[in-house]
Amino acid sequence: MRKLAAVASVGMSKIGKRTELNGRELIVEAFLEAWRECRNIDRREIGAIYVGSQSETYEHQIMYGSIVADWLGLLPKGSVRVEGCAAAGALALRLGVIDVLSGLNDVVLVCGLEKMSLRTTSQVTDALMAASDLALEQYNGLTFPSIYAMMATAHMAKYGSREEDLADVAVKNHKNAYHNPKAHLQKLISRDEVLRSKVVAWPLKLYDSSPISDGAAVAIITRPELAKKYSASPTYVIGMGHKGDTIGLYERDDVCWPSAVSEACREAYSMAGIEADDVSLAEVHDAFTINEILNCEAAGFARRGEGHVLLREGQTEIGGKVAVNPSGGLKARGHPVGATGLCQLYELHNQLLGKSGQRQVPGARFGLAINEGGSNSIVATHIISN
Amino acid sequence: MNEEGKLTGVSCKSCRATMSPPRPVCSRCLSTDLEWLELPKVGRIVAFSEIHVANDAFQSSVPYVVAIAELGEIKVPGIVKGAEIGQLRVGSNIRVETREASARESSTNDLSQPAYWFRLVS
Repeated sequence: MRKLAAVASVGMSKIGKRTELNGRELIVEAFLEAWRECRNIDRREIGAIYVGSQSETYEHQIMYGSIVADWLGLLPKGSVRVEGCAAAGALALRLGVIDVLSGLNDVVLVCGLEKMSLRTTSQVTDALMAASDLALEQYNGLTFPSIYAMMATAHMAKYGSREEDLADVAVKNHKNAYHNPKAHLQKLISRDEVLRSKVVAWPLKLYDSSPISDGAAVAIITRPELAKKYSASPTYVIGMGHKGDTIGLYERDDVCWPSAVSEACREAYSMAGIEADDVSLAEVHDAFTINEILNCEAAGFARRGEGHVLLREGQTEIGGKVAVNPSGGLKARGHPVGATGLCQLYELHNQLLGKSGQRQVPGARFGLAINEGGSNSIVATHIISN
Repeated sequence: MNEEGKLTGVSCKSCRATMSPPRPVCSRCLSTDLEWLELPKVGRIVAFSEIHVANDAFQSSVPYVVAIAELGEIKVPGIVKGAEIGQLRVGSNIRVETREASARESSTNDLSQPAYWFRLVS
């Protein structure tokens, strides 16, 4: 197994409606946590900054890297904003890994953020629609929930999954988030509450949908041989994948098969020298409940068309064959879009170090993160090991 | 959607790949030798939803039903007019209707007035 890069430390803001803080203040909150976990490090050693953010619609602010570098005293180091809708966070991580792997820098800072709660639901819906096809999807009024809902109706017709299965994904992830003090929705819900919640895009309801969140997450990435210098408890990136699919869902042969997720998982497994069966811990992209089911199939945890069966068997619970979204996932931890990929890393890093308290997944050696933008259109996967 | 109000894609004369929306180059072989492909006006639903929360442009239309329909070799998304969610199934037959050319010209900037839509047929 080859270590591509080390995660020296991670930090994450509390996720939620953070009305008192703007985006740059959320990054500071996340950074200070990561900084406290590092040792023997001088800020001048941070060679570059990668910042994932989805949309300037929320705060009318791009060039976030410049702000981060200034506020954290990292100038004159250069930065870049990474865009790939909800995959921005994992893409920033990927660029950070590639940077230190290339030998260009010894240490880099990767960040992600989104400050969404300033906007109305209708405005957020519109900002997210920019990640779908303008010509045929946006002009026909297709919202993102409806695009995932169409994956769901296709899956239900083809494989017999049901609204109750979707609801049960939400119930499980809320149960996990109940033990996550940084989660946006730290409350238990029942299947009936999900089924009775307001319809967003049938069959998806309010409780099938990730909330509109504010939040930021960061990681300090270094070369594997420097890991112990900067950190008492590093983890390692040992595999990663990066694949794509059409922007329009309608352009695909099978609208309920996320082929880019499948390809990106296979690439990461191959690089890490492991198989799906070796993974007992995963943070996947449950922006809507159906997508956790589809991600589980694409990751190889279940056979194609049987993601809901794996769920029914309880195998995706903490203590099951593979604990899926122990943080609560996008669904309940929250989904500050550009930060999400790094929120996933935050959970995997802490889980692999045994620091996750009541939601600790026992004995995990490898953690898989699946982060995607659009309707599984840009996918970045990472495998983290302790 | 072309000037005559017909839904179109393109077909590659070199490798026969078909694509929608129309584009200037074949995504499979990069040939620029393409011809218009008029899509059939009838097809079947492969996926559907009913939208209750929309953006500002479509908020006055909620709830509205949307679907991806297979029209021959090509799939396109659209609104299903005059239907309720309970009437739809994967496999339901639809026909394509298009807005009159004059109506299209008068409201080209109105995002909430799609140029075509589907209707269920029994």
